[in-house]
Amino acid sequence: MAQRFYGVPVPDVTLNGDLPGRLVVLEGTDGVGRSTQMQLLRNWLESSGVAVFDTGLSRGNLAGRHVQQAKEGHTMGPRTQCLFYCTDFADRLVNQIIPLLRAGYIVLTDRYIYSLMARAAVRGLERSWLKQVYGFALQPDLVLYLRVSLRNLIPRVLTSTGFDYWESGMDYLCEPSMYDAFVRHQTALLAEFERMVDEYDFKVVNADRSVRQTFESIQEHVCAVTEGMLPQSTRLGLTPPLPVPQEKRNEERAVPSDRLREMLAVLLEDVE
Amino acid sequence: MQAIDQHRGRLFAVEGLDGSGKSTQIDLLHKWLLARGYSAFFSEWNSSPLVKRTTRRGKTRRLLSPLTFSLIHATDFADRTERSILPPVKAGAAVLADRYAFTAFARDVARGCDPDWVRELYSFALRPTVAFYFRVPLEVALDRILGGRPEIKWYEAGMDLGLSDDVYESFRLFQARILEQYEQIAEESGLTVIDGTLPIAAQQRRVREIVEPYLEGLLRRPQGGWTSVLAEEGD
Repeated sequence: MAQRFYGVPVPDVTLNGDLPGRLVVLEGTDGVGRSTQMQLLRNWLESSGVAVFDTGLSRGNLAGRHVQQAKEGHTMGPRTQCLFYCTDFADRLVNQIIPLLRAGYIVLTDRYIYSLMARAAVRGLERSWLKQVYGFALQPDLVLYLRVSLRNLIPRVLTSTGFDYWESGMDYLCEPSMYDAFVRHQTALLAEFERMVDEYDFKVVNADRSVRQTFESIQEHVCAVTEGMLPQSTRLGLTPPLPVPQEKRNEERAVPSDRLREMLAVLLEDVE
Repeated sequence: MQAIDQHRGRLFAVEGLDGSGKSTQIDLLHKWLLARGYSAFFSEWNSSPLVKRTTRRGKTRRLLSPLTFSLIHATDFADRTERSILPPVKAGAAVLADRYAFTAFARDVARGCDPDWVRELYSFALRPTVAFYFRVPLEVALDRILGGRPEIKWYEAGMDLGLSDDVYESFRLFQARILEQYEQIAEESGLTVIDGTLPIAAQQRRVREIVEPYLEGLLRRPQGGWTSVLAEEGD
């Protein structure tokens, strides 16, 4: 149903109302729980019999790996970083997202142009430039913005991956302590997201709550934009994990991970 | 583009079709500046080490669409601007660019990108002190390139546009499109036109005359090494 580009269209791509799929975006800052929600969402939708494809930043065939490697060198300037990610995004849009929407998939994307614009804006790039450069992006059917307070974010990040160089803005902030850098950088990022809520029609989901409560809100929003795609019998709430075919077990991201299975097992026990 | 007047350094760029002779001319200009003791740096289109592997991968595997072709070159340009164009210009040196943003204006638009979008994409670029455009008729450029029946690469020939199944024919048609864009850009952006059919030395004289007035106050190279030894012996 996503049928419009924000600005100047992708060259050579015409949309004649022929994208029957749905483009659903999960946005939010680092450590807010996007990947957990992505996995729950994918599992639920697939259980309902809908074809789902998920994608995320730097997962493109052209530039994905190289963007990751370039980050390891800590040598990218802000504009280079922005355009490198933009190249990867364009590659995924043209080669994955649009073809799969054309084939009727629900495409779930972990972050979209909003994170990329927010990261670049806090590093001093002009918002008007970012908006025009990213104008070739397709307007999603749904943008779920997982809103979290810094107070809740810090313990989550601490107990999962710990503070990361880039996620703390160490490349542009002059802070000797990674904790202080993280606080400053994330505060700035959250403010950038807030600026975008109205302009890009974010559906705000309060992610200060539990995984389960957050997920239920997400499901309601997804139901609203997938009318006619999900069977009548579709139930809200958590779904038991789908069995994983043996030959697929080694394929990264192709199936719910073991972590999801464990998590679901715990959550489902709670219910009973 | 961003004004360069606020910086002490200078930026000289050359543009033109493949076979227009621009690389020869900027190479001669570079040597002349160095010989006169100026600090001059060279930056070539598509040469950022950070981005090179991606461009190569995209080109050899033919993964590039007009949009990603445009963006990966803009990434390369951003890296070179941040790393090797802006710092010397700020420090008061001369930077010489073999192809500049105008190349993207011409090629990306010839590939179907929106002209205004491409210009916005490159709006962070420093406006060169002088941007030379080496104008040659299409047939002259084609003869220079195709004379030896060289191997023309897929994207170089614009094969991605499906203009023709024949590489040479595709290259001709694509270059004609690029030439059309260059002529528009030369006018719109006030490029300094040099007649690329003149003898090499005559073109170079013209280039040096134009560059000369901008050299006053440019950063000089530190003395030392074999050049200064030779210079002393010459006294």
